[in-house]
Amino acid sequence: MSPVGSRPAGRSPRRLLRPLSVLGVAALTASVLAACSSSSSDSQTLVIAEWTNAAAVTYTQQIDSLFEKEHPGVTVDLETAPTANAGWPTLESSVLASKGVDVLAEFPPGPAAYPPNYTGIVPGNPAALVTSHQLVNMANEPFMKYYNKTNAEYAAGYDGGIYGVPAAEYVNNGGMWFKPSLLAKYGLSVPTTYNQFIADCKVFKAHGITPVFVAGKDGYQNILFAGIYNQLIMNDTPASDATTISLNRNVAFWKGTQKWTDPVYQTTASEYEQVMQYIEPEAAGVSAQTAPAEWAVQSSNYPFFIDGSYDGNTITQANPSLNVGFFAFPGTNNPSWNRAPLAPDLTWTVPTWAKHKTLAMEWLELFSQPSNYAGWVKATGSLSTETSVATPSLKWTGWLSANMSNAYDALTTPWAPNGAPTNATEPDTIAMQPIGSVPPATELQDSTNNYANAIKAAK
Amino acid sequence: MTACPFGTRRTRRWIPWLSISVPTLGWLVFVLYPSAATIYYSLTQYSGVPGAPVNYCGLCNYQQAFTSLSSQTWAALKVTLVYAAGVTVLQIVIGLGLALLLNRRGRLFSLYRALVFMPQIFSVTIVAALFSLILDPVSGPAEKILHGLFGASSAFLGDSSISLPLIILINVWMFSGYTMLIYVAGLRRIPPELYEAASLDGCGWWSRFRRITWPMLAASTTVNVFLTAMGCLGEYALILLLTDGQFGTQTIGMYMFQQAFGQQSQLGYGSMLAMLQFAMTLVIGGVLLFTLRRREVQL
Repeated sequence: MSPVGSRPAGRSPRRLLRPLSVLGVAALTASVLAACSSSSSDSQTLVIAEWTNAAAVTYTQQIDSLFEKEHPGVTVDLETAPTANAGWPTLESSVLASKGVDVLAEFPPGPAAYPPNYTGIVPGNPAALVTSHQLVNMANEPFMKYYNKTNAEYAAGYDGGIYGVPAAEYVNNGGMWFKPSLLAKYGLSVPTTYNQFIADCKVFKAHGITPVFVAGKDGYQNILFAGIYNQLIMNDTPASDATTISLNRNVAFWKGTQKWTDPVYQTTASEYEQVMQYIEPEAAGVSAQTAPAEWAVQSSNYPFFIDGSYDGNTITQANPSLNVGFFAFPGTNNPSWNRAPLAPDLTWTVPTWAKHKTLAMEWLELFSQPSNYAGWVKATGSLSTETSVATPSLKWTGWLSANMSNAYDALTTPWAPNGAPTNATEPDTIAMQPIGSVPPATELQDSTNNYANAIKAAK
Repeated sequence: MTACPFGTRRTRRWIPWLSISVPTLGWLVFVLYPSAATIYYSLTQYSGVPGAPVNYCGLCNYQQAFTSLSSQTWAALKVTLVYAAGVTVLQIVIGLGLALLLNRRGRLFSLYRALVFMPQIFSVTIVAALFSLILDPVSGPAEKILHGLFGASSAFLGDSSISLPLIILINVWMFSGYTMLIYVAGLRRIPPELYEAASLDGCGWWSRFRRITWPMLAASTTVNVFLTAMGCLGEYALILLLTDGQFGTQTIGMYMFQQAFGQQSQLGYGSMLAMLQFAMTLVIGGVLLFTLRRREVQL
């Protein structure tokens, strides 16, 4: 006998349960669908993702507030992550995978990010986004008229299009900070040649001052190494030839006609080794996150600091009373060769699948307006990439303002097959003495061998 | 017999199937699919950028790992083994020592055990930030102590000769409390009569430990060794935050993370490294489990 049969006639609990369950499920489904449809049609949240640079993030938030005021009902959500410890690549992968971003900051790929087909190299991010048609071509957007076209093409150009707004540019390779008061105290001036720099270091060392500070744990000494070979290779060649020289160098490396053991890199290693004799002895344990502030607060030690110009605000905020300056390390004994290699930096991109593409373009228009962009470069210490906005005059930008006209786009690292060892694309200055234990000559040979092996495997 | 409110006898037959369908779906989506995808991606050249082409290349990544890039692969495997062995041995010794020391009744000992266990509840990020500051060679307290006591200085995490041992110690500091708790639980299951009998027979502390405590803790040791070793074989987070895999600290997990999710991400190559890591974990885990379980039976 069925258990149901024992129940009295009428609406049994089970019979009641069935229609109630159906109703419940229907109500739940309806509410979920309603929520989904409302979020897709009414939501006006512009999502922007940017890596953490305190000054840049603060100024972006100001632009966001302005944008929200001009667009009632629109909210701007700014997502950030630090570049250290793969925080930024992780956030970037996440927002790309979820297609949950409208304006995405990118380190610009530059022309070397698109290796020729014969290399068989799969472009990494962000070049892969460009080649897979996931970034909007902004070449014809009205706000692009504000920007220097050559700059924009170098930073984000590909196949005739421009796939980003080049918002920032810094000096990275060869970047050197100094404390003018310390130099003045010992009757020294900003060195214009390599020999002068070494002579200055000797003077400081003789007075018990450690001449150079660097974030060795994160490999910032590479700024020095790359700065030297940039100047040796570029010498006094016009800045306009930098891209061609860079690409030809990449081809030469790939074909094996240029190697890390070539004389120019031997000279680089030799100079590098000499300068590194004057660094803080335990610099190998100093991290990039703390280095600018640590250097800034020690006003009577470390007259020089190897770091890019992007840390200007961190340095001045850490010690506002510090008299500070910035110049390009003189890698040669010919002052006219010791120019600053430039590095395009934060570049705004808009994915083709962005949910609020129109809003994204309006935000970029607002950001690019010269009055707003002038505030951005002042806040971030970036070199201006807009033709009508001058690079701001900050207390440390004197050398830059005087020498920017002959600066050039930095040489890129050679194309490397997937999975190639770190030191295949450039000698590893963390492994190299004095930070590591490998003698420079051995490291150059290792780099040469590793690059050759990686290419052989790829072919 | 109680009536089931859910459906008729016919529909009720589906209830078990419906019940297992949800976890099965979860397993398919969150376990099987990612595993299968990793196997597939390990056979491709793929940047990992969503929408970018996935080029099938067979065993190209595996071939590369054991030919042109073999030095990097073997170095990472070696560091992983040293790291896993170092952490496991130290953590077992320290965890057992702490368990023997703190396995007493009383509020004070409960507090001590809680304090020893506390680092376990901190996130890896907090622990890494804490030790990065402590071990800063210019402004950190470790430098000042070292200089004050011995007049020496060190780059600490930036020194290849000591960075791996330092990370091993930090890991041990973080997780020894967990090992201790498992041992404490094991110690409390040992019948006190065994110790009483041994004392009557004139056994000393060492003899009691060697003949009673250690054999009776065999099951706890199996759990501790297995869990610690398996955790270490996949370690990357602490290393990523402390040294970014530099200064001789690149484990296979760290190498995989950098290749798959680094600045120039190559998910295909990274997936191949994940497969290598899986194979290594499977072999070592299997051997450990087999050996430890056999030891339990013998004891």
